Amino acid sequence: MMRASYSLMVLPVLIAMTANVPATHAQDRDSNAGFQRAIDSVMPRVVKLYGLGAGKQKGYGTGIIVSDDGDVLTVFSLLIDARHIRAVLADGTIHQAEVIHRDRQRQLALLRLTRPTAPGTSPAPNALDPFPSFDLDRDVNAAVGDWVLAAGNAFKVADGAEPVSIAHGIISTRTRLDARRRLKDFPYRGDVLIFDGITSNPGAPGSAVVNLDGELVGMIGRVVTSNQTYTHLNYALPRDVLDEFYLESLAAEQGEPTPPETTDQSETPLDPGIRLSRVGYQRILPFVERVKFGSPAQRAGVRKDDLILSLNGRNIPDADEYKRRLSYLEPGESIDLVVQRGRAIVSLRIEMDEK
Amino acid sequence: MKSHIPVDRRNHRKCRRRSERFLLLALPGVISAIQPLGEASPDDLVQQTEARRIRMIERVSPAVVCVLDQKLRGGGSGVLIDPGGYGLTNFHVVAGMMEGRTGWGGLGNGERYVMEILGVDVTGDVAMFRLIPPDEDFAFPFVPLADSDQVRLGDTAVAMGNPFNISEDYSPSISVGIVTGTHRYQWGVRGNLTYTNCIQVDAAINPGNSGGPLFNAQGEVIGINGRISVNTRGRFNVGFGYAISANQIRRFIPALRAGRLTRHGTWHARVDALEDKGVVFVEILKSGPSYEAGLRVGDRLMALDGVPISTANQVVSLLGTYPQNWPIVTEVQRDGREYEFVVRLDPVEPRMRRPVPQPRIVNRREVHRVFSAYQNANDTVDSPTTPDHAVWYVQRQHDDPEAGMGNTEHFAALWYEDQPVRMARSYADGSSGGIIEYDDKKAVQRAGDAAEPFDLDPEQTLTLNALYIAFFRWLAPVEQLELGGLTHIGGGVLIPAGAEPTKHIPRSPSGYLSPRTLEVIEYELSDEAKARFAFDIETHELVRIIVRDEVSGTDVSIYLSDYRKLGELKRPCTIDVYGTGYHYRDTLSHEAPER
Amino acid sequence: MTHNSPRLFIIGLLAACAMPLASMAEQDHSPDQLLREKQEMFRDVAEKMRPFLVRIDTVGGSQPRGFLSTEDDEESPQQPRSQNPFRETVGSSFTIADGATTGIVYSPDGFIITSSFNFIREPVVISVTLGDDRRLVAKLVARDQVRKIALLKVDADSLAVPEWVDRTSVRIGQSAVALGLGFGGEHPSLSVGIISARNRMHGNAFQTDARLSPANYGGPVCDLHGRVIGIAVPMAQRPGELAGIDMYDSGVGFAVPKDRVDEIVSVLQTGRSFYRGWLGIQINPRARDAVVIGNIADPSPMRAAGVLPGDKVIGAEDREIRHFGHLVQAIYMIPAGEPVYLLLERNERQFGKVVTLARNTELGDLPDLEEPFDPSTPTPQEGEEE
Repeated sequence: MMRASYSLMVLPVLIAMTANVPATHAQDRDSNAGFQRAIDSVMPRVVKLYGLGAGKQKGYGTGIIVSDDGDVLTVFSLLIDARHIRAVLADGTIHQAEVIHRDRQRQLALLRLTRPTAPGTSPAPNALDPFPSFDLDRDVNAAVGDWVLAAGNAFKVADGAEPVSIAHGIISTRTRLDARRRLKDFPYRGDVLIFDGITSNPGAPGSAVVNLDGELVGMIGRVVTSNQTYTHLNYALPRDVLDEFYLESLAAEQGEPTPPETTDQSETPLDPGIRLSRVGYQRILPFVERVKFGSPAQRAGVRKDDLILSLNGRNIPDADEYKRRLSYLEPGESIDLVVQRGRAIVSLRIEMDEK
Repeated sequence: MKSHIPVDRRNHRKCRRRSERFLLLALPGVISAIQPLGEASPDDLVQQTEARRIRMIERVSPAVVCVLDQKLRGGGSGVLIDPGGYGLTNFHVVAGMMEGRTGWGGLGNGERYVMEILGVDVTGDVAMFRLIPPDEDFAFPFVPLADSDQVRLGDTAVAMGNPFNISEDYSPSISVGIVTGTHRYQWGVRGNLTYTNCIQVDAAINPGNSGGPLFNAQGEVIGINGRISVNTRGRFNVGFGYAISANQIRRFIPALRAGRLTRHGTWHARVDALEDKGVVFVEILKSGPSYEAGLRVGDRLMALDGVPISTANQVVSLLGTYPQNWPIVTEVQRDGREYEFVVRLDPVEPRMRRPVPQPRIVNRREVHRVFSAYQNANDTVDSPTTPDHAVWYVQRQHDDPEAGMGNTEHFAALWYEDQPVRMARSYADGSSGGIIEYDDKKAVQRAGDAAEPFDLDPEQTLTLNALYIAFFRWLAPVEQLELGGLTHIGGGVLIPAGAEPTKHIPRSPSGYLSPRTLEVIEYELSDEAKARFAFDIETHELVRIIVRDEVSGTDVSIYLSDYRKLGELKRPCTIDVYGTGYHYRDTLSHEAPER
Repeated sequence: MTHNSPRLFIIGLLAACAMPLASMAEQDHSPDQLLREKQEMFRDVAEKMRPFLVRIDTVGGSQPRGFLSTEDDEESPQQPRSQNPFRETVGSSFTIADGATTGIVYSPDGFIITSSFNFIREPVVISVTLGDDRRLVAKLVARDQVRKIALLKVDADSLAVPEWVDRTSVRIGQSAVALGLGFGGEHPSLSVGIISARNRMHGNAFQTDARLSPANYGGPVCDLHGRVIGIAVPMAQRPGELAGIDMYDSGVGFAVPKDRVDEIVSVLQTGRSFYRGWLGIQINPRARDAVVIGNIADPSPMRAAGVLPGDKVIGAEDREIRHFGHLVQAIYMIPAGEPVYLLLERNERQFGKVVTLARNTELGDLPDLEEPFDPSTPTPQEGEEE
């Protein structure tokens, strides 16, 4: 019979309590991978969007706040055709968003959050405060190899005030987009940032991609398949393209005429003066059958029986692709052609006539 | 104004000193902190981190299991959490093996061991198994469970397992990522396999990774990987994996380990976030535990088990992590006043196409293994055996203070036929354990005739130790404990006979006495602080210990299900209790303190 | 940001260094400094490796449809495809693109090592663009369709070759950087991760969680010092040229290390290709708990070895065979012409056989089984051991 038994029982409890002193964990530097600044910056600046959906097109997506009065950039998708677009901010407050401008070519849209909240939701206590936003009007470095962090509403994992999902990776390369969406070519053919580890998942288009300093470097684009690899592309539209679109949108809103959209399809392709062979089964190899006399191609030294390998750096596997590539050219743009002539490979530059 | 993103990195290269790189990777075990100039090269940081990650992986990956079915077809992954071969995996990994309850577990050493499937948690998609050691002295590699409540967004997360069953030598595949979401909720399939309050990561997790561990940077298990989101490409990693949190699993371990079909809990009430009113109870089933505990429609839910509540989703997510019968401290506001109710959750029956075969109870082999796990070179084992029962007695001298209590332990177990019926443990410092009776009623009854009360040294100063309680609770749910001179007050807690603790059954603020609540025994810690031991009135299980600061009126609760925290006890040590307005310090030595 | 406690280093060996070390230990850094250091190292790796990377462009060829066309060159046109069971189905809906791919210089005299993935379309013309922008016509010398490696030759000499890592020094968990030119442009694309496992695919590959895809198949997977750990290839535990491509970007990727490349290249340089090896058997699908041979092609390696329908395969190489998947796993990495050790069982008696795998084009048809095989019929035993 002893008395001490009781007290000892208590002591482990106290140990457990002291173990909960927050400092112990905070001192552990290994735990946090180093993205804290990026996370803190990006989280309040993305919104979850809910709108129209049909079939494989999900009715949810992501937007990036780019002005303190609530301008939101997102992708041009079915979602924005909804009668009411709901935007859920990081603090859980719900705003309605209206479409200010849309750009089919870049597949981008500008929304604006309306101040009165959607019916049936609680107004934010700070309803008149400026929105936390990214300032596009600043230079930001984004080099190949840089770590990036994306934040968005992919798979709709987070609900209400729950923080959106993040993903990390590096900038794999910067290249021109050459991709398709289902069977159609994707209209945007400008520069994109490619990532190694940030997948374009349902709901992810419109996600903000930031660098380690938490600065916006791009926005995840729509889900596309690369024409170069036939894989799903992990990519984002770079900040400069976003800025260009944003400024155009604002100008358009002021009533300024928008620059004409470059519509490739309808115009007749430029003709450098090359006729390709039509001999072949299924796939016609791009052998040059004839070079028009006095044409830009002839001036550049293209010869009969040359096999065209690439055009402006893009592989030309067949005659169809050659025609397709020509259709993307701007008037006056020169053509870098690589051809195989016998066992040799020859690079040629075709200077196109103006107009 | 246009901004530009120059990508030509050469324009943006930072000028930095490049000192000679130490070829750490070629020289394992050497830390590359040695610089001839004594100045840190930037690469050192990278190399040290590389070295640390490599060492961490080397340390923990031997405990990662390739789970195979009886025909050696790959099913998924698992992880060992105990040297006796106990491990965790997903229920959906072993669902096809439930008939025979056996399979194979392959380890990174290339060896394959027979695997027995113990308890399963169908609702939460967790299963416990054990690998059968090749011989009695064999100790499996194992890894600790982390406190997953400490996991934060952006933390390093390392997934290990057997994606696509590509491992031919059972060595796990390692992938590194970060925590990309916490407190996530993933809907289940017809009520099963629901992932509540789970951890989301972007480390590569693919089919076959299921059941494998998710580690933090320190090599502790923060969760069990079980689900991924996939896009139209097919069932491949797209950076969205989900892991069941270690803290949820820990609450189920006693039942899983005892081989039971575990059940999650429900409180048969619904809450909703109402405008300006916060999260409010909108529906309460009158025959359910919430009503019984005293909760009423209109009560505003402030906190659940100590977690402040702000959304209804949060409540659903949190509740999904508790087993049946778990007492949940529910803090509510009613008419401007705050109340605390303890709701004991009703069981939720998992839906199954086929019934899970009868769970087994802890058998002789298990206890045997528990003992072997505690044996080392300094242990002496004595096993006098009679026709009816066997007594195992192990004396263990700790020379490694990290390994245990830092002194001598005595173990003893009494078996009746194939069932361990009683077990005792004591420490040379005076602390000791009692006799445990396992929950298999038949075994206990039969043992009642044959088994003598098992006496440790009656002259010895006997003190109970919380580690000990936790140890038994983990092994099997405690129903009865007795030891000469000590009275069992429930839940495995012994107090000296004749001691008169304050004992009361708290009444709910409404004056309604819940039959399903806690019995609380108070013990004075000091003039200002009191420790309260809370027992379940029905099962007499020790549920938690609350230390109350009388000055400020604040409580700190410790749940005994968290055996690991309690297991961290090392002595001698000093304990600091910080309350509002006071600081209490006590020193715990090898000797039992005089009071 | 600078509240982190100083890093403590274990300084066991060099007491003399204690002072400078101590000062270094005081060094503080922001939490993301590690990441900033690492991204510089990634760029350094890309820069260091750039001269050794080549871009491979192909012209012509076509998408394999339904069946893999690569082994069909010797096939008699009379034999309709559908009737030959020993044909590799593509087994994947993946479409092979014709964009640029990646290779690396293997030897100064113009051998380029890359992945056989890049030639599945059987292109008519292959060109290689070297790191110095010279574009040359390349010859496909030979390929290993099992390990997914291909060897090209260009007319060039004095090419710079990269440094390779000895496989024994590669550690699980160390960083890995994959480089590729599949997205075009002059600069390689980067993909980073760690080494996930070693000795995958019968010891033929390291596994990495860096995202590998057609954008970098054939390119190098490097360590942080810019040394090649292995060549990125698509692989899976099943035969077929496309096997594993469906796993692109999944965080499960494979790289063939130097010693494996070397031993393959020495054969490939002679112009000999490796093709998938076949046993020429059909498995009895009704036998559920064992791998029982249902039928055997005539001619075929198994017929030549005297194996009979009804025999059970219980072991292959050093592996236990309990179902058909095990047998596939045991031999999928063994090319045609190589021997396989099989442990068989007939009438409760076990015996071993060494069977030389054949190409599928060497296999005959499956004979008609006139009557259901009766395992109780005594069969003549050959003089094999056991």
